[in-house]
Amino acid sequence: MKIILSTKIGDRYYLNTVAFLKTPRKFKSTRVIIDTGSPSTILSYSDAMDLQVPLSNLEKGDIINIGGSKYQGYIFRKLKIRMRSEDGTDMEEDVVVNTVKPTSQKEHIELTSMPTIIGNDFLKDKKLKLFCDFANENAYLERD
Amino acid sequence: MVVVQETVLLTNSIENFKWIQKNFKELEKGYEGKFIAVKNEEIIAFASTRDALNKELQKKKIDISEVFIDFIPRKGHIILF
Repeated sequence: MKIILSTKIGDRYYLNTVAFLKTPRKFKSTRVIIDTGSPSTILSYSDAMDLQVPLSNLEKGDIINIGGSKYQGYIFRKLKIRMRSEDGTDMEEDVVVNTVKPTSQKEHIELTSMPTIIGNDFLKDKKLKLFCDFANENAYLERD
Repeated sequence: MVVVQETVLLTNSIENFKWIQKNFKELEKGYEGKFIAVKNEEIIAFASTRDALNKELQKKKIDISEVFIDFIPRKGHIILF
């Protein structure tokens, strides 16, 4: 199974793709960034809001540093992520994620432009290999 | 039935995502620094903040799951996550 990744947003190089996110309450599709600089998968604040994740009821996780600011992480255990593979079949996985919530209006504005991040934990737990060749605009996740 | 609906929504979002990628340079001119909501390869709402975009979608009675939302960064800005 091979999930093709886009290598750019505009003229900037990012690994990204579309994922379908589902909670017991809501579902939506969103752009996700594959970030090997992130050890954990982070459900963005905007996606958490859209999916009606009950942030106030979640257990505390790690402190998360984003763009120079520190946020309290909260652990959400009921997320399903679905991605489309090259052959048209879908991969759907249960995933435990961290999410964040702002404590001020400034943080609220900052966090709403942050996308959901697929971190190294997801690649490891789901046994996904990452291939990336930015020069030839070719990248994908692969599982045997 | 639900799985079929989810599959269709994901397919639509992939098409909208590709449309944004293909037209990014044009979108940068008109929607720099804005959140956009795309449905059927067309921008149906845009706003400077996510809250304002959500309000626009509510006014139009469009559920968030029906659209693909993206942020068009300002030119010359690099976003670090």
